[in-house]
Amino acid sequence: MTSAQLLLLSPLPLAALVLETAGRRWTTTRSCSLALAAGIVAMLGLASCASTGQQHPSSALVRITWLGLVVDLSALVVGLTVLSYARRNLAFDPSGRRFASATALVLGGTIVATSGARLSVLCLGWVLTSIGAVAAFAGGGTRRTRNRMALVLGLGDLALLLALGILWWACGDASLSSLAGTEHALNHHVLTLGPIGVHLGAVVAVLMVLAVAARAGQAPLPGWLPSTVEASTPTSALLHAGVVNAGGYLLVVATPLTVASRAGDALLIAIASLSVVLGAAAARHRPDRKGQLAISTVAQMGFMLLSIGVGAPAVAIAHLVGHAQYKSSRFLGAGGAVELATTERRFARPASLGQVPAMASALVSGAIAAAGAWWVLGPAASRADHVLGAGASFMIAATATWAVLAGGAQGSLRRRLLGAVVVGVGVDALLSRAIAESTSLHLGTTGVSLAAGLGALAVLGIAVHVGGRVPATAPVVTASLAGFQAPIGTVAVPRRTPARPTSRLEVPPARAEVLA
Amino acid sequence: MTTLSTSTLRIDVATAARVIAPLWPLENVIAVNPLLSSLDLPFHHAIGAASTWLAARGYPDAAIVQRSLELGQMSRVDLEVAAASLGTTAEVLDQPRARVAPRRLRGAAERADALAGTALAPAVDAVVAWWCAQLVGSASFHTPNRGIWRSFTTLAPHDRATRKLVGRKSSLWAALAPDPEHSLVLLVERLGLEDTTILDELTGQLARLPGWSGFARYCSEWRPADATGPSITLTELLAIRLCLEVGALEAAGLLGTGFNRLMEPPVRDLAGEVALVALERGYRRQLLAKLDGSVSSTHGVAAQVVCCIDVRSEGLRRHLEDIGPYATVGAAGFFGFPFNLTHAGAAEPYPSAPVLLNPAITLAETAEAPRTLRAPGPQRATVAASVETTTHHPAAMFPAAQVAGWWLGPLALLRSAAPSLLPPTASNHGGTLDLGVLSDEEQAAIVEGALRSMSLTDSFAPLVVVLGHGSSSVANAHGTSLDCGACGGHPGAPNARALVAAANNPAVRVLLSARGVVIPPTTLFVAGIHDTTTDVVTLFTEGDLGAHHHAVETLRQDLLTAGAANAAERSHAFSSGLDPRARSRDWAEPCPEWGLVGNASFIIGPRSMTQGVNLERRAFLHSYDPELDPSGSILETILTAPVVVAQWINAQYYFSTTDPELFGAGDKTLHNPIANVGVLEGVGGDLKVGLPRQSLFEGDVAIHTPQRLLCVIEAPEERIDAVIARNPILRQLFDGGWVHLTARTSPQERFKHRIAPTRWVDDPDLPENAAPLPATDPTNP
Repeated sequence: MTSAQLLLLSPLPLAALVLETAGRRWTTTRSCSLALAAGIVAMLGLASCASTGQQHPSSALVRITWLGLVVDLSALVVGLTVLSYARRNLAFDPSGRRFASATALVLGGTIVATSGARLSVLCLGWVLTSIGAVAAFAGGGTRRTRNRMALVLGLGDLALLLALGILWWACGDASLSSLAGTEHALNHHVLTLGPIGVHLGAVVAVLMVLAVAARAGQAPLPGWLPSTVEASTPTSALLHAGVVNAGGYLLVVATPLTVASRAGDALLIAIASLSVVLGAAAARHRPDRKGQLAISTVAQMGFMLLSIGVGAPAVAIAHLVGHAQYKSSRFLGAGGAVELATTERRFARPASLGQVPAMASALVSGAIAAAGAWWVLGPAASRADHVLGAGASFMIAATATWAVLAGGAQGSLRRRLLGAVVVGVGVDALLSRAIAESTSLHLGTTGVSLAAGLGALAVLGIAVHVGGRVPATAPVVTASLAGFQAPIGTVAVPRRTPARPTSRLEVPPARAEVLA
Repeated sequence: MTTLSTSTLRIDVATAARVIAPLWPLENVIAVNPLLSSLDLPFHHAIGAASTWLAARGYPDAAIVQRSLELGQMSRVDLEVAAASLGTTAEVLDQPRARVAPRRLRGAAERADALAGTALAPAVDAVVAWWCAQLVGSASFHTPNRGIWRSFTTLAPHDRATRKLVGRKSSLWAALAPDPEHSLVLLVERLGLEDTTILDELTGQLARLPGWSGFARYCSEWRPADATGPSITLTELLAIRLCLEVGALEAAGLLGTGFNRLMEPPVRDLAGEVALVALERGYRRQLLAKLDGSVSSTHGVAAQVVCCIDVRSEGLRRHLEDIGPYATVGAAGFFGFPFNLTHAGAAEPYPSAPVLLNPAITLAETAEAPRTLRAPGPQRATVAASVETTTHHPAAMFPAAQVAGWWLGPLALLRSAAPSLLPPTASNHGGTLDLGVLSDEEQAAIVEGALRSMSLTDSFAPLVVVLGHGSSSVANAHGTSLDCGACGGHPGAPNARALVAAANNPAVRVLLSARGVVIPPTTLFVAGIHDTTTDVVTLFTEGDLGAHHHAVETLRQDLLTAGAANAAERSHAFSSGLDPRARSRDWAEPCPEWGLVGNASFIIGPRSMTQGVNLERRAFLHSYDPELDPSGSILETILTAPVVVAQWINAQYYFSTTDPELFGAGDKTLHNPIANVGVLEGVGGDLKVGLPRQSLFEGDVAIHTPQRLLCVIEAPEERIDAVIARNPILRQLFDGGWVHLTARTSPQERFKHRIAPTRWVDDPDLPENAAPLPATDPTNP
């Protein structure tokens, strides 16, 4: 049996899990062990494929890459964490079983998507994950939010399928390793709409970027992500197992179709920058813990997409993995926010993060330095983008070190934290480096990306600097603009002016029933 | 319509607030009787009154009756007798129960809705709740010196949802005054109400959002004046609410429409009353049958262990007495020593005392602050602040998430998949307290009061252990609801330490012997803490214990053995049977322990009354020796403080079970914390009150049996009657049927039941002894 075939077996335990949870009382350890088995089989398959360095024939449906492995592993860790959490957390919840099946669907979809050698297989996995996400939410949330979520995700998936269709029509079922060629083929076709002629390549790029943006809950599109905190805690955490963040993987493996196109890149940078600024501002002023976490995901995903847009895919993938772990963990521990807030208040130490503008300068100057180095070295070294990907990531991590240490840490705490952060940064840099090595991809027109990227980072920097000084109304306005005030949307406000009643004692039928 | 004055309106606001009970923040959950303001009414009337504004379901439902029958907590005979005493038959239980709906229209918007078929009131609710969360929960949202009201009037006109509600060009904003009180006057006038209906209007408005109204009532009436942290007053809440409601009504062209009163005839839930009385009868019958023996052996006692009255202490005490020559004593968990506590390294003190007391003294810890990240302390506070700032600041949030993720992901997997591999949950039980602010004389007075209140004034054992209690759970928003209620929702270790420090002070002992409490020099006091989640007992000993070393070590072992036995017993109370010790470190566990579930009785008497009897962790146990209290003053202290607190707890568990939607905090898996104030269920909506569903239910099955507290006292009836007669709060509780009272003068006599002031009978279930029925609806004069 070849490794690729072994990999195809991995969804089997997940399917068994679906059957298992459908039939029995679900508080058994069996569902967890099945999911664990799925993970182990998948990992073994992936690892053995990767270690043998197997060459994939161009006709293969499945391929193994380190990139896919990294994204898979991240999703599986989140998925297993969520499942074993839900086993006790949702033990008496009627939706628990359904949630386990939906988790299997999400994970299965992510595994299929990340191991597909063709765009069509990737899209299949992508759609499976979307369905799983909506199914997971539907167990606990309101119908209204579920419909909104299904609509946004469905339209995004439709855009992706449309892009796939165009590509198929133009070049057949494209293999992911030969996308650079298809891009040229696509650009032979020009779509004429009256006086405007558009290259098909641009249409495909825009469609794919829209698909990714929809899944990542990006700002100008209707926001579905903040309202998902209506559902149970594990559901919110599950969204980080390849639902909101799979777009990072898609854009990186399909770079020739997306970021390489000017239209696609510009749209990506515009959407991502807007999300970063609006998301960061709105998350800060959100009062509820889970709402903060969900909206900050919008900003974080914006950052990930922005990294791809400005040509640092390694940063994006490192962020995809790190943030998935971070955010799912924060969601699962959301109940602890009360104790932390109490401790923080009762044992208040003057917060010495007063040097925040300095931190902002550090980030902006770091970004400018990274971009400058890239600009100087980029054309010279063919693999410069990988090295710089790791370098930029390291620089960002160093900024984080600074931020944590500036947070008023003192004494032995500072030393311990420093140790943790140094190790964390080291791991981060090593993994980023490994990720960078695995993504040997064409990075598009440097000039456009660089200009746009610097512009976006400047916007971010300005937002940061002004952050403390904006008029108090700004967060309300931005939150309103970004549609982040979901809770109020649940109530329909009547706009019609009813006719004045003739008698003051007239009782409408509904009320009269109560009275009777 | 006359011009309103702010002072009359202030009275109306305070009166209107009586419709809901105050809601303490989650920082220190206090169990409150949800019908606190109706204590002046008899129990059944109070439930009727609550249905006027709140549509409360106040009685056990059929499922609870069914489960109690299956468990043998009561029998069919109990149901028959209960029905007969209420002048009906048990068949009434099979009839469909009356639907409950508020009997009045709550506020102008609801009246307009009833008239015009619109849905303005829910829309106003949603927006008001959102603004409350926003203004209270988001600290950076408004600067402290600007206040809630100014923030609201500055921000609200720019908010899309608010504009959708009140219209884009509302003239309202310009008409508002800069302070909430005058604005409220203006808004009430704008509603065009007659003077007589203003109180009803405000009451209705508050009743639409019981959670936020309850928190506002807490802030207005109970919150210490110098407290920091989030708050909102009743006036501010009402001004915001009326502002949005008037705006919405004006925008819809419905201002001034509607009629004021829609009354349904009061519905008496006879089936519910039968179920409740039967449950109480069944429990009383079985309890009193167990209490007929009297075991007493004070000879050769190696140690006396003083525990909190909490029902969870009962199991530990029983198992400890089974193991060795130990005597246990029950006393309120603050051990008669109320104070404000400043933890080592803390910035502000908190009251470690029952909420009914206002401690005059502040004690500080002499020890160094804990240098651990896991227990509450300065280090944890610093990390929390750093994490909060770093993950919220736009410059830091992206790299911070990325770097932290590599750590948090695998840790989360470990915490979820194998919580038993984690180290035990750490709590801050504090260190030695500095009693220097109290003179020896004052300390002696406190120790004397404490010992006398627990009737422990002679025959001291060589070792006297004072055990506070606390709980340990992780990622639990309602964690403090499992801590000691007598310590204001905090662990009781500091109070135990304080009492022990004073009692071990030689100078204090000299003064004590002058006061008639002679503690032999060979007696050592030791403080400890009982972790009610894990049933691990820790004794705090320092330095060389000398001759007591062996006794302390033996007791330490025996306490651990007793705790393990209790934990094993408790694990049967979970259908999954998981070890309670694993639950305390499991962040996925919505029910780390059952808390005070099942609480049903309050027994005041010597331990010989209950020794060797399995009370199934359903009884509060307060030690009391009637011989030592001829004047009844000790009994008076017990009845007016611990019994009142126990009644609040009992009522909270009761109503969170009978009406989980209105008086319960909802599903824990959906909880969404607002700072340390409270939780929302999912996204938006009202602040949740009471206990979470998972604290009382397993799935749809109520584990708690809702019944009123049964107070069992061993003391002469005349003494009890005299104490009740001179305390209005006791007259309300006992004469109003909030707490049942049963007593016997001595172990040789039969229990008698108090059914009316000074009227004691042998059988309270005879129809002629039943509580008088409500003649008229007290809420509808």
